[in-house]
Formats: sequence, structure tokens, C-alpha cells
Amino acid sequence: MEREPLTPYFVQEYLKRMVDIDISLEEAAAIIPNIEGNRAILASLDKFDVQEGRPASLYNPA
Amino acid sequence: MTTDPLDLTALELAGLIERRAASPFEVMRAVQRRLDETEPFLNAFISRRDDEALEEARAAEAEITAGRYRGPLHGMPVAIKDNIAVAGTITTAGAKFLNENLTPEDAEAILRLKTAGAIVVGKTNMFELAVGNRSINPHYGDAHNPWGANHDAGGSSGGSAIAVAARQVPLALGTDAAGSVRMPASVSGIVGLKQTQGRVSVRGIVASQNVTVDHIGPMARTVADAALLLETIAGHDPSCPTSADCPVPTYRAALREDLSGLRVGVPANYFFDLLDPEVESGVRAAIRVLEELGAATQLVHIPDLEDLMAARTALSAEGLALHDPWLRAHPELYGNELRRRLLANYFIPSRDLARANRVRRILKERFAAVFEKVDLIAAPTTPIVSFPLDATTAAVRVSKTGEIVERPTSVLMMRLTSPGNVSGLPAITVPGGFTPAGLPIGFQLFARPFEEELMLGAAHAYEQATRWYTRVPPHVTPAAVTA
Repeated sequence: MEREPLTPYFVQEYLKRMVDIDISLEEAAAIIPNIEGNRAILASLDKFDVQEGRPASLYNPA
Repeated sequence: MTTDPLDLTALELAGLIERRAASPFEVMRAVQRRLDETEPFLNAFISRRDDEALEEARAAEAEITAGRYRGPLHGMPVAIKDNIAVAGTITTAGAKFLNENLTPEDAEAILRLKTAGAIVVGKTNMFELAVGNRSINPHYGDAHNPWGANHDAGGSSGGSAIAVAARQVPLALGTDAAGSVRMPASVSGIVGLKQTQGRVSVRGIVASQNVTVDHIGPMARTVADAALLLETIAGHDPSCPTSADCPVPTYRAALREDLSGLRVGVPANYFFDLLDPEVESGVRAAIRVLEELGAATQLVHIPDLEDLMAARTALSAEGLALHDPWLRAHPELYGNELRRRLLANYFIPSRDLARANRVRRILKERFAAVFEKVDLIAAPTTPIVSFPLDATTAAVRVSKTGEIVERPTSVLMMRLTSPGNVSGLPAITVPGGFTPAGLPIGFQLFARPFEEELMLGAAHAYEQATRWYTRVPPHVTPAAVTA
């Protein structure tokens, strides 16, 4: 499904309403490439089966 | 004694101090003279403890003279990255808003160093809040690599790497959450060690972005010196939640020169996929040296490593636990680039952070499968060598196509070190030769968890066979820079 592009207004409002951080629209626009970059990288995690029950903390490499 | 004690390795200097052929007080004065000469152009330190260090050196000398020698670190000057707490010092972590952060207590690693008699010379320059792999800092000035005029020394522990490479001090500590000990060590031509996660307490550090993958790590000119530092700072700390409760070996006893029987894996994927051709050539030559020393090498494959490393991006969100109050109170005091990266982390969904923690386990299992076939994995440390301070991209060759492409240095630098952080595996970088332009190449070895001895043994054998560590960087004196 195609995502709608992020807007500076959305980024500004999200930070304000969710984590109480006030930034300008200009600053919000400057953050968008970082957010999009993270999203693109994180899509690589889709291929891994992470549904099973063992949490990372139970794995003892020693 | 040679005319300049700073040309000696830590263990060589320790031998002189033990025999009372060198005076800790005079050694400290030599350190401070070297700092006076070189700091105006290297800028490796954010703060110095000149008076306190001289006083402590005098006290160490009195103890040794009275027959109370504590061991090889007694009276030894060390430099400490400025995100590690040293009692009574300002710990800025390279941030402007922490420029009055007086830390009242020592980090656990510092306590152990002091108990062994080491003396903290000062706090070293670093990338702001340890969240970048350059030696630039907008608040305390850029730190310069002694191997190339106006060249980057890597980060975030760039100041510690410079201090050791430029022979300002024999030993230093850095921190490593994506390679921040090993990256600067690699491009500055020294040894950098990131031991197994949990081996050294991280209590007392201003953690970087990736809190659960952060480490304190030794930086030195030789593997034996790094081993000495590790065996001093390692050990269980009940106050540190990630600290491992297991015995600490005498790492120096594991150093060897014959590698017969050792199985070394050479990755067929990821680690050699995107490299400066001169780095590849140096590292392939280093692997041949291991073979000449008796090691048996074989190709190994770590499935999906490129995609598994995406977990690191999600783990960046962990850092908000630390930065959130500062971002609210002092957003204007962060550098623009760093502030924007941190704010973007609020948009990483909790789903992805949870997935990343599962993927970390998968990554550990993939490495564990490889380590059933081999004892060590050999790889480059950084895909590139040191670059000019004003550069933001570097050229690398894509191994599949042979094409030369430009990539951001920020992405390239941590590409080959961060698997050690996400997996928790121990890794070491040693000088692996030089480019024709005279810039150091880093050669990295990974081992199974808590098998630092094997890794140190092989690294020492390679180092002694090649002796790259004996080269002196050209830009360690003002005269050299002027010339």
C-alpha cells in the first residue's frame, strides 16, 4: 500500500502532541529525510520471522 | 632509559618504572610537555588535569620508592574519553550543555584503573554525545589525525585515538556502541578493543544513542598493552545491569606468536562487499600473514547480514531515554544534524524496536553457526582510511560489479564494526599496513563471546610479525606540521 508522504505539519504536530516537543515547520521539514531514511532501512526487518516466543534475553551466547 | 619515555609502549615503560629506572613524576612532566607542543594542532583533549596528575605522579613515585609497587599500571599516564566519569572532572560527552557537568564519582572502569595506580592525564575530545563516527566537534573544536594534515581521526573516540597515535600517552579508554573505539583506532593506526558485552562495566558513562550495545574499550599502541588494560578494567560489577559475572583471565598470558591449529574465517559476504581497494589489498595481505603464521583460513558466509544490521537503526530509539529531557530543555544546544537525527528517532515505531531485539538474537545465532566452523573471523575494520576533515563522502569499490561509487563516510565508517555491537561479540582492530599515501589501514578480528584470549593471541602474533605499530605518525610535532 502506498503511504502518503510525511508533511512538516504532521511531524510538528506529532512531536508536540505525543512527546511535548515544540519545533518550527522549517525544522520539521529538515527532519523528514531522516525519518524516511530510517523507514527504508527498517523495511529490511520484514523478512525475518520474529513471531516465535524466544526473546533475545533468553539467548546465552556463552 | 631512552630520551623520550613516550616513545615506549606501556609495558616497556612499566618495566622501567618498576625497576625505578623511570620516574612517574618525570614521565608525567614529559606527557604534559608533549601536550603543550602538540595540542595546539591536534586538539585531542577537552580538559587536562595537569596539577592533579603531577601530584598523583609524585605520590605514585613515593609509593614505589617505599616498596609498595602495585603493578604495571602504577604511575602510568592514561587518557579518558570525555563521556566516562572521572571523579572531580567535568564530563562533557562533547556536548555544549554538559560543560558544567561535574561528575562526583568515578566510573567503575576508572576506579579499577586508579586502584592499579594509573593516573588520568585528562579527558579526550569526541563526537558530540558519541553519536557520530568523525573526530569533528562543533563545540570543542575538531580533533586532527596525526597521520594526515587536516584529516579526520574517526570517532566517536577520536581524541583518545589521537592521544595514543601521537604518543601523547601510552594508553587510553574510549567507548564503542557501533565501533567508536575501533573506527578511530583503525584510521589512526593503533589497537582498539571491544571486548564481549558485559565483560567491562559501563556504569559511569554518558551512553550514546544505542544504550544496550555500548561498551568501554581499551586503546593502545600494542596488543599486549591493550590486554593489560583489559585485564585491569574487566570484571563483574553488581551495580551494572549488563555486567557479566565470570572470571577474568590474565589476557597477557594468552599472547602467542605461532598460530598453528587456529581456524580463521574470511567472510564471503558483507565485509568485503564495499571497500576502498587499498584497504582490501591491505587486509588480504594481513590474512596471508595469519596463514604464514600457521592459521588455516576458510571462506565463511553469514546469511542475511546486510538486512540483519537494520536492527541497529531501530535500536537508535533507545537513546531517547537519555536524550529526551535534554531535547526538551536545550534543543538549541545540540548541533543541527545531531538534533534532527535524534528527533527522527521519535518516529521509529515501538513495533520496530521490538522486532530489532528479536533480530539481534537471530544475528547472534548466525554468528554462532559460523563459529562452529572457525575460531576467529578476519575482516577490515573500516572500509575506508582517514579522509579530510571537510569531506562527507568517500570512494569505495562494489565487489560484485567492480564499480567505484561515492558513499557517505558516516554510513561507511561503522558498517564493519557495528555487527560486533549488535551481536555483542568481542572484536579487536590492529594496524594492518598503510596506503601508498601513508594512511593506516585497520585489520579486525572477531571471536566467540568471552574468547578474547584467542583473539588477542592472534592479533599479537600478526602485530609482532608485521610491526606496523613501530611507525611514527608525521604530524606529531609543530615543526612537522609547518613543514
